[in-house]
Amino acid sequence: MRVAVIGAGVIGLSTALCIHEQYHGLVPSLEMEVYADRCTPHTTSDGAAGLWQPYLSDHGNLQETLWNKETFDYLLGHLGSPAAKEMGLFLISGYNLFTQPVPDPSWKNIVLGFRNLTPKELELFPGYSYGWFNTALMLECRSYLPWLTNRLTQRGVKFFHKKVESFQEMFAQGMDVVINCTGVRAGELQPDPELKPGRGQVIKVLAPWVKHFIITHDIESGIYNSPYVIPGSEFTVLGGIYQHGNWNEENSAQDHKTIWENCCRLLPALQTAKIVEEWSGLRPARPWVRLERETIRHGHFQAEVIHNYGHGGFGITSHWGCAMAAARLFGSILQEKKLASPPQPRL
Amino acid sequence: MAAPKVAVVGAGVVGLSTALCIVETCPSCSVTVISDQFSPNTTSDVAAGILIPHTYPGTPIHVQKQWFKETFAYLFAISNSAEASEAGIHLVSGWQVFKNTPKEELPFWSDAVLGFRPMSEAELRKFPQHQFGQAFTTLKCDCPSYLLWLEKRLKATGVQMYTRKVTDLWELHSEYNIVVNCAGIGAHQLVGDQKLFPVRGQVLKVHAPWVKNFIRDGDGLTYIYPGIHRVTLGGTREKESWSLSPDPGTTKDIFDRCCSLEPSLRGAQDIKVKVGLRPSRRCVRLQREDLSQGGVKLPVVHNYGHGAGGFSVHRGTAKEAARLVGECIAALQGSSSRAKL
Repeated sequence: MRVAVIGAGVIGLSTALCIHEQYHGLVPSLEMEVYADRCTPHTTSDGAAGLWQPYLSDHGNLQETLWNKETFDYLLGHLGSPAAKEMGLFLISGYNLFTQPVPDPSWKNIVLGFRNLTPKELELFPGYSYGWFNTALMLECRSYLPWLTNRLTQRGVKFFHKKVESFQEMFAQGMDVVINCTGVRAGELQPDPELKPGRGQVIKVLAPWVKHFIITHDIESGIYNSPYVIPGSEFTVLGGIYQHGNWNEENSAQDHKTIWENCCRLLPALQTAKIVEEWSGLRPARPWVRLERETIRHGHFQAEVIHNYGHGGFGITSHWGCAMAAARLFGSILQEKKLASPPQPRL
Repeated sequence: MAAPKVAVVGAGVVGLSTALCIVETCPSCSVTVISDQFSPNTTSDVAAGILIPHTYPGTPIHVQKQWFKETFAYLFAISNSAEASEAGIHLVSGWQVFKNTPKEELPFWSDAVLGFRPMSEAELRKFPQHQFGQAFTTLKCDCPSYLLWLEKRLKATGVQMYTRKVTDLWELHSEYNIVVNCAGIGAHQLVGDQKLFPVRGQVLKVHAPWVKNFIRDGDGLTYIYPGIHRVTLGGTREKESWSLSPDPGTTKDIFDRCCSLEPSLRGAQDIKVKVGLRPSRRCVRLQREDLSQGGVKLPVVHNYGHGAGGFSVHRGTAKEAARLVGECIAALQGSSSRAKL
């Protein structure tokens, strides 16, 4: 049973690990390979600050809320383990700020200690009249992706640094199942008009006195188009850009100005922070995550594809729940092929 | 009297903040800071500088609360300004956890910090050995940044600073009109205060930048306070111990206790060990005393004995000390105008 995972961002690597952990013991013939044209630290995941936080509203998409919860609980369980530091996993508290009262989010009972802000706390943030405080998790991909890669390599999973041009290419190599975790460029393997880039830009600074995340919201400008400050283990990430449909991965001077001015207005002490790096990336935005099976026929071949892409700005937030869902789809494929029994000769 | 000359003895957080308050309330005063130690070698430099008050058994609670509120408000404004990183002041959130539910569920300062509330069940699950806890947000003064910032502000107003060991306050009477005694643990020898005793604290300052929240055991012995560059792990409360040498057995014990509260600390790097002697007293000695020898008077304002709570109340006590200096000046002016008659 040969499985190819395409994509080595947080979705690709975690889906690979989740499937391998669950099925390698049941399917001794399982051979897994990961194909990616970009690896850590050059993936979209690497540019993200790594804060676990879903969008404000799940738009009634309970499925996504469940994936988010599963991810949070899974990570919380790993907090006390010796692996946490290597994974880039730690607790962090912080603020969500609004200019008017808003309903509580779907994730209020998933995070720890969720509450409204007191008037005295709001004094810290002139211009904002309402807000939340809670404790959530950080998962820094520049640590997490290498950790996942190590776990996979230890399990004998092979990595290939190359661009896959088509699903057919994989089937021709003898793959039985392809796991499609290609993120924003999934359209190159199979056209998907629902998938669009949600361009973001961030400035990484040295500001070790900042111990809280601060996410502002402006209902008018939409998600991530309002300043945010997220302190990591080494750098603090300043952001607040979301441009739907913009494929440009180059840094924009205008966006730099927007981020810098808005974040310094939010936290005046940032004016003295040293800028270390600037980065742009494309969130793989979709009205909902594409997480489903597809049977693809090509001549004599019939092979299965499991799609797992389109996580927008909440890939880290939902990754493990999605990986588990993809693993369940994989399990159903195995059942159909009756692969719990000894391998049959190929016809 | 033109330009009263005020000597402040001591350059820890109490000495420097008191000098600054005097400069602010009495612009005509000429203020000099004299100390045998300056940052980074003061007791304050060892402290984590977290704003969680210590309760003085001998001081009325409403007074302690006032001191804390004033200090909190002062630092809150700095933390919110462009100077925050230079001054080393930042907000930090976290948890105080108790193995047994405390008698007093609400400390006197619960409404002075931000967002104080009991911990939820989910939050307590992270601390399996603890049954009860409180979550809140407070401020931290990172030393030596804060002391250096105070020194910089003092120098900008013309305050002189001298490294000199004062062995008797009376030494200063010929050069200064008023002496302010902020000698901390040094007051034991300097003014022979037998009610002042050291409470030895050993701490570890480690590199663990992923720790963003503080954790404190309600017994006050085990704590984790993340600062700007280092996390302070503590600690000990050894009464009457004058030893400034780090003890290796204590180091291991502190590290183990902190790791049981926060397991990820096992990965902490570059562990530095420090010792400080908390200048402890039943109550802070914040009062005037007029010394006299052979008909010559020397007004003194004492401001020492802050024990484990120096940072938490420093600004409040500094303001009160400055007010007492004002009284001394008025008294001196009164007697000098009487002398003119």
